Parts: sequence; C-alpha cells; structure tokens
Amino acid sequence: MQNPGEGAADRASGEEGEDGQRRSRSPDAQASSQSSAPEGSHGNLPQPSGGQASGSQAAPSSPSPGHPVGSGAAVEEAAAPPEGEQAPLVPGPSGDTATATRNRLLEFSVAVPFRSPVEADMARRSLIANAQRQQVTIQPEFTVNDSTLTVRWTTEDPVLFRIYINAFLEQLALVMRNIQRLELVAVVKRGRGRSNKP
Amino acid sequence: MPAVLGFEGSANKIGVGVVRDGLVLANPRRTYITAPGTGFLPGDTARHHRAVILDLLQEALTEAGLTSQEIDCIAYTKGPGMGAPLASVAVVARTVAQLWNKPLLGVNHCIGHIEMGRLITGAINPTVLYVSGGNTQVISYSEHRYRIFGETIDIAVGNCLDRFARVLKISNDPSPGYNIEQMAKRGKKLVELPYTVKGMDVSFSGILSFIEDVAQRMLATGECTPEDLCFSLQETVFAMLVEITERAMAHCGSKEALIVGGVGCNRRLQEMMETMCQERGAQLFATDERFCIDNGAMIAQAGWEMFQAGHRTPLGDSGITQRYRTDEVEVTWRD
Repeated sequence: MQNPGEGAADRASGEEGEDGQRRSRSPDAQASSQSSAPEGSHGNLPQPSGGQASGSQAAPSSPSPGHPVGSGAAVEEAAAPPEGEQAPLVPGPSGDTATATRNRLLEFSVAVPFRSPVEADMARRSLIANAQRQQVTIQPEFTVNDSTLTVRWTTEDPVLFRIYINAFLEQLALVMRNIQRLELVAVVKRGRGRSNKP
Repeated sequence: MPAVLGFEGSANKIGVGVVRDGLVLANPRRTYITAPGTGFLPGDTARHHRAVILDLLQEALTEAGLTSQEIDCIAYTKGPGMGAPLASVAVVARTVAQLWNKPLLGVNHCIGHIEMGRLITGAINPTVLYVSGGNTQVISYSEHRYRIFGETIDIAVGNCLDRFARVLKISNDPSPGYNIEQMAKRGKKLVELPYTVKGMDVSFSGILSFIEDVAQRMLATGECTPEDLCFSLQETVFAMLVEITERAMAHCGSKEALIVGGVGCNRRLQEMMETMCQERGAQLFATDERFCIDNGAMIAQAGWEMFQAGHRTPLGDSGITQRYRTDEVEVTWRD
C-alpha cells in the first residue's frame, strides 16, 4: 500500500488544481442553444416534424464569460396528457403549434464556433468517438461548417437527454482548453499532404 | 528510440507517464480522495480528472525533459474501468494526438499493469496475480494472449477492502487499503470469516456482506477491535488469492509469480505469496507503489510495446470500453 511519506508525485485532489470547479478558459468559444443565439454564434431552431410532436426546445440562454459553454442551455418538456384527453397545443418558436403526443421526440442542438475549420474538425473527431457509444439510446449528429461545430441530439428520453448533453458540454470545454494550451503542430503539417497519423 | 506518452484515468487515479526504450522518464499522478465512509462516483471522478489532466500533461513533459516533437505515440487507457473518467481522459488523448500529429494507441488497463510489472521486475514468464479495486484475476501468457486462469466471480478484492473501510469510516487518504493494512498490523485476534474459493475462481461479496453485518455488533460487544477485523479480513481474502494463484502455477508448471495492481502493494499479501512460492521453489516478483497503483507510465509502457509491434488505433475506433477483457488483446509483441 502507498506510504504517505513516499510518492511525492501523487498528491490528493483538493490541494491543487481546480478540484473539479468548472471554469472556461476559452472566452472565444461560445455555444448557442436553440432560439437565442448570441451574436456571432449560429443556432438551429427546432422545427416540429410532420406528424410528430414538437417535443421540446432549448430555453433561451447567453453564455457569459467565465462559464462553461452551453451552461445556460436547458430543455423544456411538455406535460404528458392524461389518457383519453387531447394533448395541449404547444407553441413553436415561430408561433406554430404542434400536438404533444406520448412518443415525443426531443431535439437539442448546439453550435460552437472555433478559430479555424481545423480546430472545429479536431474537436469533432475528439468528441465523436465517445458519442458513438450512446447511439443505442440517443442519436448525436456532428457536423462541421467552416469553423463551426454543430451537434444535434434526438431522443425520446428526457433524462438521458440531460445526462448526455451535460457530459458532452463538459468534454467540449476540456477539448477547447486542451486546444488552447497545446502547440498546434498539425495545422502546419496538414497542408503538406499525408502525415503518419490518426 | 521511440518515446510514448501514456494517459491513465480508469478509476480515481489520473496519471500521465512517459516511457522510452524501457526507461520511465516521467510518471506524475493525482488521486481523487473522498471523505471517510464514502466511495468515488463516476461523475465526480471525471470532473476531478478533467480539472488536473492538462497540468499533469505539462508536468510529465517537463519531468521527462521532452517536447511534443520528441513524443512518438500517444497511448491511453481504452478500458476497462469507469465510463465517465475513461471518456474524459480519452478525449484529451485524441486531442493531443491530433494537435501533435502523433499516432494513437488504446491500451488495455490490465495489460498495462502486466507489462509494467514485467519491465520493472524482469520476470520472464510469470503467473500474474492482478489485484486491484476493480479487478482480480490470475493470468498466464499463452499463444499471444494473456489467458485468465481464475478471477473473481463478483467483486474485486480491492473493492471488498475499500467497502469494508467505509463501514468502519476508515480514511481514504492515501487509500483505504493502505489504512486497513496499517490497522491489520495491530490486529491480534483472528475472526473466522467466510472463505470462498470455487475452483480457479474466488468470491468476495459473501465475505463482505458477512463482515458488514457482524462488524458493528462485534465492535459494540467488545468481541473484537477494528484492528482485529482488518487483520481477519486480510488474512482470509489473501489466503484465497494465494490458493488460486498456486493452483494456476501448478497447472502451468510456472516458477515465477508476479503481483500487480494496487492491492499488490500490500506487504502482507506479498509475504503470504512469498511463503507459497518458496514452498514450491518458485520466485515472487512485485513492484512498489509507484507502479503497483494505477499510473500513466504503465499505459505508456504497454503502448510502447504495442507501438513497436505495429499496433495503431484509428480515431474512429478510439472509443472507450468499460468491459475490456484481458484476453481480448492479441499480444503480438511476445513470442
């Protein structure tokens, strides 16, 4: 067993580091949730699918400096109607209404601007491997347009929704801190053709 | 002379190590320690790892005296372990591999322990007793696989010890197992506990349930002391481990035994294993807490072997696996 007097390199948490406190070190990055995209970010407003419930949409939020990206995003749910009663009508973002049914599909998307397309794609490749484990219960879609990484989730389970999105946002913050702190060797070499990598 | 950087974070230890040609150049580590009477939860553990991993990475490079250009490969723990911590560390490994344009290697945590044990001790072809908070296996190498000869059928021996420590509210600093070991040294009375060996396998859930049930009563009546219970638990579970290890050694005709994993630091376990080995004319190998306890260098060392053998993990296949069996890996770097 470990001798407290030895192993100086092994120190308990809480004595150093951030001890789990969530702080953003990437003031450049912003995540926008649905319907209240701050200036400079890109958001996708959820649209009711034909014949299906509008599901939920993210509550308005504006990321503020010092807070992890996407921390203000939230998902609202429509209450399930009692059996035999007609479901209440839920206004959509553009004033349209939709009927909430029992099997409503929840959607949420977040768009994160990076400094360059290379960084955005790098973040996508770092994060997508973890997300692929989740595909049985929740379907994430990753796309990169120019310097913006957009991730969209759809699921019927609101609890899983919250869990996965929170986990994703925490990992996204880590990736962004990682990119900021380390030297970007790949950017220089990428333009010179194939390299010996992943 | 390739240099490999390894990330480990499958449980409550987060480590970053650098290994080059069998030399450990750096091996800093942090441990997430919770209050007495509690264990560590995946989300909280992952949060701890995310908070310190980039500092650890920098510390490792500084300690090794290397720059990113001098690193040839990035290795990380692919599994087994806790999902959230594994995923957080893997994300960093992928990002670093892309930033530095280096190949990526997903490493089996158990094999990391074995390869580090072989490197440090020089054991040639030992029967391995791998004992930690998350795993308990008896392993022997055969035809390019680390074969599992025996294992726990429920919880790991370290998990049994850690959960018993919670019952007595023993401190988790530096680790509950270490504190149980120190208390056991002061134990005088052997309390009879359930001894469960099933052929080549062991079971610890029964002994844990039993001791959790009787501990408070026995302590309240003064039948025994907490030190006696620690002593009795260690003697019983370690005897079980010695039995199944000896059985595997007899089956394989092995003359070497190697203990790896966090519980392998326990001096009493090493003593009992040494006695068994001496009786069989075999040799016991063990490492100290730098390499017994989860660390980044062991992942780097296993990664080094895999890198030399031509293994690579494409980014698309770099997901983590909570249940990653030791014998799933084709050990192409050994004859």
